[in-house]
Amino acid sequence: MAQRSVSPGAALLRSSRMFSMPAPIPPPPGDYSSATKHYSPTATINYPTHLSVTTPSSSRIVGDWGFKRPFPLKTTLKTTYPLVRVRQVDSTEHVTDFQSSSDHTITLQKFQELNMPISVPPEHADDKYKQAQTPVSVFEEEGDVTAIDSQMAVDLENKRWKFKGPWLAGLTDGQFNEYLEKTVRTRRPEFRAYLKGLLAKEMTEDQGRVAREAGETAPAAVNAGDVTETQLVGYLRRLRTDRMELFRLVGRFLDLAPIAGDLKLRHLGSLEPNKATHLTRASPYGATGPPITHPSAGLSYLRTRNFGDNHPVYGPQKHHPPVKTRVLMPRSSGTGNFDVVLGIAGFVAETPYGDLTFNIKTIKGRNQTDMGRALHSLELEKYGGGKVYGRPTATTIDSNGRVRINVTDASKESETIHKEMLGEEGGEVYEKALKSNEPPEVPLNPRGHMRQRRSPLLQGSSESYGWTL
Amino acid sequence: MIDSPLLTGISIKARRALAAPARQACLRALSTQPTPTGVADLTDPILQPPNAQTPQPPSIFTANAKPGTRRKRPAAPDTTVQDYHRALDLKQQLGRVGSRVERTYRPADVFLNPPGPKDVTLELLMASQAHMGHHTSLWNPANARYIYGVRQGIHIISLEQTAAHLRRAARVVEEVAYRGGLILFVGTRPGQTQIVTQAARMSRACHLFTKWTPGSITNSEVILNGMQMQMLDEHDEPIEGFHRHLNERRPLVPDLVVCLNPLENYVLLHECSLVNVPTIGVVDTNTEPTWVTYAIPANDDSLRCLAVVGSVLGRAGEAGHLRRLDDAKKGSVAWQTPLDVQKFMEIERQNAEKDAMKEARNPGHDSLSNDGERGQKKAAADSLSQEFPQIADFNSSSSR
Repeated sequence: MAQRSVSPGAALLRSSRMFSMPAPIPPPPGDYSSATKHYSPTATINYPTHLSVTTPSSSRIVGDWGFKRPFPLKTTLKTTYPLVRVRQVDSTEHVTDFQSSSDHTITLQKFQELNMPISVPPEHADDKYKQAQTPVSVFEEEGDVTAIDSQMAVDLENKRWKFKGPWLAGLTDGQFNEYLEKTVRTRRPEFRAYLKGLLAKEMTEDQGRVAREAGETAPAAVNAGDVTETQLVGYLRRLRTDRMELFRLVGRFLDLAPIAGDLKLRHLGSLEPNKATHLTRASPYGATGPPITHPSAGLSYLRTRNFGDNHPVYGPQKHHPPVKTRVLMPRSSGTGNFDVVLGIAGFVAETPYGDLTFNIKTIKGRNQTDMGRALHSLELEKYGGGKVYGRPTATTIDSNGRVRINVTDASKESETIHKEMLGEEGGEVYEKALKSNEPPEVPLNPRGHMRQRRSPLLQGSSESYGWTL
Repeated sequence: MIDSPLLTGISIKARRALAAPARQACLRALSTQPTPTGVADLTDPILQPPNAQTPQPPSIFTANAKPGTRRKRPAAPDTTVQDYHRALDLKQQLGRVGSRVERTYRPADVFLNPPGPKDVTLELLMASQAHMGHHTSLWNPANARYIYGVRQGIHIISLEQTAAHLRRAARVVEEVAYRGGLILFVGTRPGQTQIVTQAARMSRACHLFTKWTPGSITNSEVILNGMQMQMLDEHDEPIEGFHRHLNERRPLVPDLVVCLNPLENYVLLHECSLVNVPTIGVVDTNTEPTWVTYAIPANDDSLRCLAVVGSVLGRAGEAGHLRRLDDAKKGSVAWQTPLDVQKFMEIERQNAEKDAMKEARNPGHDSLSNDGERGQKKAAADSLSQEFPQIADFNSSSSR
């Protein structure tokens, strides 16, 4: 397509940085129950809506951020991270409306330091543990398809993330009624024709099966036009008794986002005999709805976290270095908080169920270890609060745009090695080993000073060829 | 004759004497080949470490000792010249390899190397944020012809319009400076001080960065009473003999006013329009463009944009000023002596003629010097800067 020719100034403006700023995306809708909850208007929202802007320090000291007017130096110079989001380039009050965007930007940086891929959410809430153990990347080809034809749309209906229709479970009553009025009602004849086609196909298969069993040649295929109104009404009646099949057909017709198929054993009784029923796995996006963006949300483009870390002394490591997590809310039965709430890389972490240190609720381990104290009491005397080491396993992004990071126990070895690398307390392995090799300050044998004391380290070098002095 | 300590068969006495310089001892300790000691060492059974300091015997015992010869090193060929040329070759081959980090923009460039009218490009104007107008609801519809569109809630000023109007304004400033006009640069918002002073310095004009005293043009006899003025000729040299005129004449009025923020200086612009002084103003989308004679549609909030506008106009004034001086040297002057000065000179000439006639009748009296005979004269004003700052900036310039 030929581009419309514009004036040189316009072409210049179109390639300018201000014009390439994306329009802000709508903020998350918020919690509908927030009327009855404590809700902070200044809380960091789930995902950033505006571009983050920065400027070199030479321009920053004169307030030049590339916008209409210089920004006030008092607020933009005394900041740790010079990052702003500009909400209005100019307002009716003749000021540029901006605020710091270091919250989302630094959170993104911290998240990227975790080297976490984004994985497909679990199909059921019970599968959280399994999903954390064997995460599947959202970039796997079978799930990450958007250019699809009608047959692929049916084949991949439980794997893909993009749908033309809404997610019915997430609609409010008004939205649902509007959807019915505007989109669904007008397509009634089309749906009947669709069902007629399906019924004709099914009747053809039935005829063929009967003929095969009787040893005859198969009769001619039934066309959709041959299906009578009586047959169609019978088919509709049959479908109404089979809710799963009915939703599947309606969903395929309208391309609805899947809904969590809670297949229970009691549904088996209502299944019609001699009719093939497809029981497929539920879609990962059925429980909480399809994502509003690509399921990776652009946070990470990694497919896996399976690479090895190397330690300069100890060699290749089994685990990645553990990550310090902040104890946001310690466990306290007095306040009704029975599960500890951890924060990792700026996000509230999900601690899976299972036999984890985080989940041990016995009184016994409470005050024995540092970790026990951190998990069970609010440590106000520590700078930044209590922190424990954890190991992030999998990350998903739910339909509200929230980042969910699964955190489990860090392995003791990797924790010790990491502490030693950082010089923290409790990680003096190598130092201890060296010290154990040295002779004690008070000699065990007081008369042993005649013996030549040998240092374990100074064994000669490649230059001295073993000569020691 | 001992040639070298590495030779075999050294006596122990000579060895001790030679071991004195510590440098050689260290060299020996570091060498990987053990030093052969020979049979003479049998007399000295205690094996000393090679780097142990041997106690120096008193000098009387070493008086007869032969001085140690300098150890001969293997004669390595001197490759300094070859190394130098090799380094040059390498530099020639690899010198241009790699990336070169260039600083394309420094905020102080506009003051260190001010752009002139020739440097006005759309890129420069866009980089200095000249295109950003105000919020769309704040606009003045008279500026519709300068507005290119709406983006991010603000009006975008057409860069072509800005460039064309800026060049036109620069031309106006240059011609006024060429004709010896008095130019006043006004920018009264915080941060504009450096911009207006630099523009005024370049174009030998006046500047104002504090409040305009209302009536400084329309009521100047009262407000600027007693300010000093000065007469200059076409080469900008002061002329004597106009004291009587300067004491009586009215204060000066600028011939061109350049205003960076017309919105806050409506009184000044109104006074200029009352006495027919042309004005140049930076007009943002919320400003009334008819307040000024020559509007420059641009962003009047960005100091970067105003610095570009100010330096372009200052450079234009500088060019006009230099052109005027050059032409004056060649003998062509593009301006005329003001009428009041002409009349004063006429009266002075008549008085001088009368005096000459009196002198002819009664010889012996002194004759007055006649300034009017010097051809074209130029009146100029110079005022004291301490008393009235805004008039203080009417500095070293020429009147109509």
